[in-house]
Parts: sequence; structure tokens; C-alpha cells
Amino acid sequence: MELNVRFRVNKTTGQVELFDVDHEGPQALDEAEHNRRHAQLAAEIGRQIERDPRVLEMREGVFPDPEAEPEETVDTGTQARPEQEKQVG
Amino acid sequence: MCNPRRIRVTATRQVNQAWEHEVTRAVQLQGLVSGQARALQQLGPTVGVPALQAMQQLLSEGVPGWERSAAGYRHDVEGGHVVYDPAAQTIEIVAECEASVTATGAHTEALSGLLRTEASQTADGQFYDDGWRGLTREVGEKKAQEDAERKLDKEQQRLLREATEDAEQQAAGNVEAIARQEAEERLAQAEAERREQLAADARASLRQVGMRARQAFHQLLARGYQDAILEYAQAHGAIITCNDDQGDTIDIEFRMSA
Repeated sequence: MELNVRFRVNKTTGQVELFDVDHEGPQALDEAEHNRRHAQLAAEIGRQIERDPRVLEMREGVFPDPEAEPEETVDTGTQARPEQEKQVG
Repeated sequence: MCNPRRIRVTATRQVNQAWEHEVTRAVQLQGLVSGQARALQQLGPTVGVPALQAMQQLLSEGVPGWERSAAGYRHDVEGGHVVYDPAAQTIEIVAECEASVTATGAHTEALSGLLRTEASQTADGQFYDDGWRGLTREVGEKKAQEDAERKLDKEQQRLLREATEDAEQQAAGNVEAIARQEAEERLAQAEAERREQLAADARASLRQVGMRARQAFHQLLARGYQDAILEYAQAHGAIITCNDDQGDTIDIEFRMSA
């Protein structure tokens, strides 16, 4: 599987603004197996920066709303989770 | 006319004089007080282990602005600082406000004493045996006596001055100690009041300091992300087509076979 990975992080806010793991070239596996493998690789790359990355699949040129109810199918793409904070003083 | 004669007169006086003298000492003290407010943020549940390891590697090699501290690594910002603790995987933001405080204490003590001593002064007079120009022996002796008395007056004042200065010198240490104690008590009270006020100021500034602190930490975090992703790419034989760190963002692009 040939992958092209694009990543962008904002140095001031710390927000990951782009993290795409695109498949390029012909699809050698059947669709279900392809999707499974694609998601697995995307998650592996995402885990370099986040413990539990959410992987979203672009459909019809659009990524689904990451705040919407999760679907059963595993998707590609990653998203940063809000950091936990408490004031102590 | 003959040569002038000299007559020497010694005047003696029993000095028996009471005196009073005030000794005052003032002490000014200065202190530096600060107030702080803190916010603790957990990183552990979110940031990936490779990114955390990359950040630790960067810090151990040295990152401008980040200094090793007792709790981890510290970065100063305007109004405070941030401490990143790699072991606990937290960042602690501290807003600090500082101010100097002064306080003065003063004490006066009334001293009194009795100067009792014998003082003597001599003075010379001049006369002519033939009383030329009216300068008889009596006139010369009287003038010498008057001069001697004037010198005695001055000597008595000098002795009095000496007595009061000695008394002041002996009392000064104690008077200053009392003034210092008063200054210390006032300083402690002023410091406590100011510290409370500074803590409130620090709480009010915590949001702004937090923004600056997080910006400093995000710079480090972004480089940690960068190093972690590049290490993964290189370990998987990827071709890196973009690794751009300019402006506000870090951009990476690579192609790999999996």
C-alpha cells in the first residue's frame, strides 16, 4: 500500500491543523480489507503524537464531523483531543 | 619706659552641672514580597509516547529558553513561568507578582546626668612696672583673670559636650535595637498585607500568563511532534517531500510503502 502523509501543526496553539494519510495507486486488496489496513496504518502514524487518535475516513471529498455520533466503520484521519486542566492556586 | 612684664593666672572651677539629652534613632528596612497563582495541566492521557520521548530528547540536548529545574524544565514568560515535568507528564503554569516594601521604626530616649569635675585654665596678662599707658600690674592681672574665666567657660562646655556624647554612645545601641524591632514588626505587617494583594493580582493575571506559557510550551510540543513523525518516516524508509518549519506552522509530507 502506497501512502502519502501530510501533517501540519500550529506552533503557537499546539493544534494539529492537518493530518492526512492518503492511499495512492491501485487497490490490491478487497475494499473491506483495504479499509481495515488503511485505518490500521493511519492509527499507527497517529499514535506517534497522540495516545488514542481518532481515525476518520473522507467520503465524497469531506471528512465527517468528529463531534458527531461515531459510526461502526473505522475511518481514516486524526484529531487532537482537548487537554485536561485544573487550577490549583 | 621699661620692658613689659608678663603675669600668668590660673583659674580653677568646681564644675557641678546637671544635664539632659535626647537620643533618637530611626531604622528603615526593605523587603521583597511576591504572590503566586498556579494552574496544573495533565498531558499524559493525550500526548503520544514517541512525541513525549522526542521532547525529552530535545530538552536534554538544550532548547533555548528552557532551563533544567528541580521539578523538570522551566521556561520564563512575562509575568511568570511554566514548568514541564516529564516524569509526571504535566505542565504547571505559575503567575507571579513581586513588589518591594519598606517600613520605618524610630525610638527616642531621654538621658540625664551630672557633670562633676574640677577644671583649670591659665591665661597671661601684660603690664609695665611704671604703668605705662595704664597697664599696671593690677590691670594686667585682672585681664588675665578674665581671659582665664572665659577659657574656663569654654572648657566647661566642652566637658559637658563630651559627657552627653559619651552617654549617647552608650545608649545608642539599645535605642537603635528598639527602633529596629519596631521597623521589623511594621515590615512584617506590611509584607503580609502586600503579599495578600499580590496573590490576588497573580490570580487576576493567571489567564494572560497561561496564554504566554502555553505558547512557549506549544513551540516545544510542535517540535516533539515533528521529530516523532520524522523518526517514524525514516524508520519505514519513507521519502520525505516536505519538512518545513517557518512562520507559525510545521509542515511535513512523506511517501511510504506499507
